[in-house]
Amino acid sequence: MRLSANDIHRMAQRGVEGAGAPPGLDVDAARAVEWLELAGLPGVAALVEDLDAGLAAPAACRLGAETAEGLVFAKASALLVGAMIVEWAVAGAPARRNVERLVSPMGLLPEAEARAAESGGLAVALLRGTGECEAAAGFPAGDAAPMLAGSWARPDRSARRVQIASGAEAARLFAATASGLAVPPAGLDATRREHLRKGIEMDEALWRRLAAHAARIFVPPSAVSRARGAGSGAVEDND
Amino acid sequence: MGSGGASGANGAPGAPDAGRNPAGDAVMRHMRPPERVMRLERLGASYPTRLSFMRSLLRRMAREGWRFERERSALDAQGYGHAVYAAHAPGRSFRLVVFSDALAPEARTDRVIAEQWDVSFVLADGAVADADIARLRANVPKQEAGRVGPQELVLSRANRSVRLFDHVVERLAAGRQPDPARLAEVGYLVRTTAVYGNGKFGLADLGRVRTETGLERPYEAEMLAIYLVRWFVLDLVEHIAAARGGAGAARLANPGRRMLGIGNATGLGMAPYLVKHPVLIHNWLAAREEAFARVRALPAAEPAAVRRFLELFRRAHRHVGEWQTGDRRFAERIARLRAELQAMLERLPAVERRLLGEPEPWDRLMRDVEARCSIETQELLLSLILEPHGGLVDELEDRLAARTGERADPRMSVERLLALLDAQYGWALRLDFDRPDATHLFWYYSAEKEEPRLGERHAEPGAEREMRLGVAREIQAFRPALAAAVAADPGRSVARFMLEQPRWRAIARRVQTVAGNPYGEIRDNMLDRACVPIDLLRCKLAYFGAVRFDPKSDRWTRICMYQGAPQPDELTPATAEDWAFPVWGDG
Repeated sequence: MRLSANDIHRMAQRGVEGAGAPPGLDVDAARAVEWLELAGLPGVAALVEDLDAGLAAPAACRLGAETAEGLVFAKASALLVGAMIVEWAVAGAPARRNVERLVSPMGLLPEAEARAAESGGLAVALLRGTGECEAAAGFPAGDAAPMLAGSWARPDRSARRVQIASGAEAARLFAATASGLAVPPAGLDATRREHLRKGIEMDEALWRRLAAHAARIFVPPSAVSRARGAGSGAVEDND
Repeated sequence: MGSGGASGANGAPGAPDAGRNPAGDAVMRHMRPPERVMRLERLGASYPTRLSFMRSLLRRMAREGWRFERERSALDAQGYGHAVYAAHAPGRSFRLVVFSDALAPEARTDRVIAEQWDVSFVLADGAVADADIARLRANVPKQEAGRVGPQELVLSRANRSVRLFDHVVERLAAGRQPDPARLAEVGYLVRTTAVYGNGKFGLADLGRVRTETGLERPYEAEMLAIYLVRWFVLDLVEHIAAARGGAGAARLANPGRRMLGIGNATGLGMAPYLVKHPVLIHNWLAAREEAFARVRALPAAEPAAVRRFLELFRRAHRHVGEWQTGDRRFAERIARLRAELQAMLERLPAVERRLLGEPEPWDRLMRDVEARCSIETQELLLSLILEPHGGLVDELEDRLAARTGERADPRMSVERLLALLDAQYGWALRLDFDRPDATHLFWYYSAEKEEPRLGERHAEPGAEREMRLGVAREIQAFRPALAAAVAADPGRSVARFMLEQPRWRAIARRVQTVAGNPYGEIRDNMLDRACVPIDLLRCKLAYFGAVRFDPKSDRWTRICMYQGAPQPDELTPATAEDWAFPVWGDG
């Protein structure tokens, strides 16, 4: 099935709300998933997996601890908390910060792009347990195109540490981590334009799973709600 | 607009850009503050202005020399079939593809839960081939149950007016004009219900519409679709009349041709929008308020502007005289409006002398109106005094769109956030939520076609799934948590606070957003028993340019769009300018 970006945004927002996430994280997740799908990354699939795993629950969205190296979560979805994490990263020193135990780390990318201009550039790197880089993303502050490298879509399961860098440190981080990683043939901007023009292909079974979470926000109708809830009656609305 | 800390002498935040307007300080002085403007009672008395989207679109089309063309008509003798209408802009064209189908009377309803309509249509970007028409035929009449594609910009439907449609056809078929009284009573031949855009049901996303079609202003695509379907509907009645009456059938003459608009039944679906989009709503309200302030700041009135104002005042007086509503409460407001306009009409020579002779005359006029008259009259006069000043205010239509949504400022301290909350939300903090009436209502999405509805919390199930429109209640819940964070560490960043307490993510970001967008927050409790949802509807509909607001309850209303607007074959810069406050008697 073919969907618009707004279709995806709305269903993602409702799905996260229906799954019980704190207010505001539904909007963050919707923006993130829309961005990812436009970029050709499986945002909806990742969201469904995270919602099924209960990661919208308030306890899962809360910070575990802050150490000298950075933030540690119990196990949180970057699709829901990623915007807040990027905001934290740009809010103060140091210029390079770590985040541990995130799932769906590609959820950091949308806010990283959104904040790049005000931060003098942002870069995000996903590291395996061995320290090797699994994926990297660079968002320059000026007109230069954003760059993705490596496996953001299906990262190795051991890759749970993220580094976020801003300003001049962003360029250094990206240069150090992206080298040797595969780069998508089409640039990010071209991919997004194509998806806006033609729509986004979506697996119907996956979409139904997300819709099942979204359905929890709806209230079953009753005779009273049909008659009064929207205002107009069955007869007098027709002149 | 929207610098968080600036304020004028009257305390109005969100100062206009002095660099863009040389009279910036004087304009600031005349800006009505958000705490006065952003009340439901005043929003619910909104009138269309020259900045309204329909007005703006017609001026643009006339200025750019758009051409309009009937490309195809495949309608049978009863008017069933399809048609294609083209609008050719410089470098681009759009097509209205419209389907007219038989509909049993018992199936005709304006509710979102309807499944069939008399007319259904899309606005498409570019040319439409036979294969597209076949695809659209299979999907457009189904509306929400069908799928359209990214070449389609707008999806909508309309039902015939049972009171008027057949009467007009019968008269024209007999070679006669319709009864003017019946035309004036109804004002439209068909009535739209939902008008969809922005990626719904597979339509083109707003991002593509803005960047690739040239329709950049809010709702331009939707307004264009309605304008074209109005043209189709006139053709439709004439087509059916000609099929019945043959050579003896008449064509619809003026005033009907110009005065018939497109009706609309608007329900609760539109209401949450004004709460969910504070940046966009701020842009709309701030643009109108700055336009108003610019005129009020003028040191003198141009004689031509005064003549135009007086001419339009007389027309508005007649327009209000023709305004009909069956709602008792609203009828009382209109009656008072009529009386106040009549009193002013009798003083008009004195008004004219003062406008021509006194300093800051438009401001003096408005102070007089504000002291003597109801909110309805005040808001109507706002619209009127903008009319002669297009050269001064029309540029503000470029500020109506919002390029960003709500955005957090992560570096802000929690101490600063608390100060902003206290400065902006005193109205919310003063509300008594221990009163049962304060939380009497809850807004929700029904499982039936996801239709927004309003429930009574203590009488109906579903409040646990309510929409998050209770901003005032949320502010009261938030403040203690924020105050505790300030007490613990006033310098802590908002970013850190939200990570530790994600429960407050939405409201914290909203407080920050509204600080820079102060006309984006409605300063009333949306959950209170006294909340009248149509106040929200009327505000947004006024920005569309709709007239003849006619509430059917406190939850839905009828209005009319493009009433008095020039038809495509008469669209010029002059006609595009002069159709405010349309009157049947003008012909």
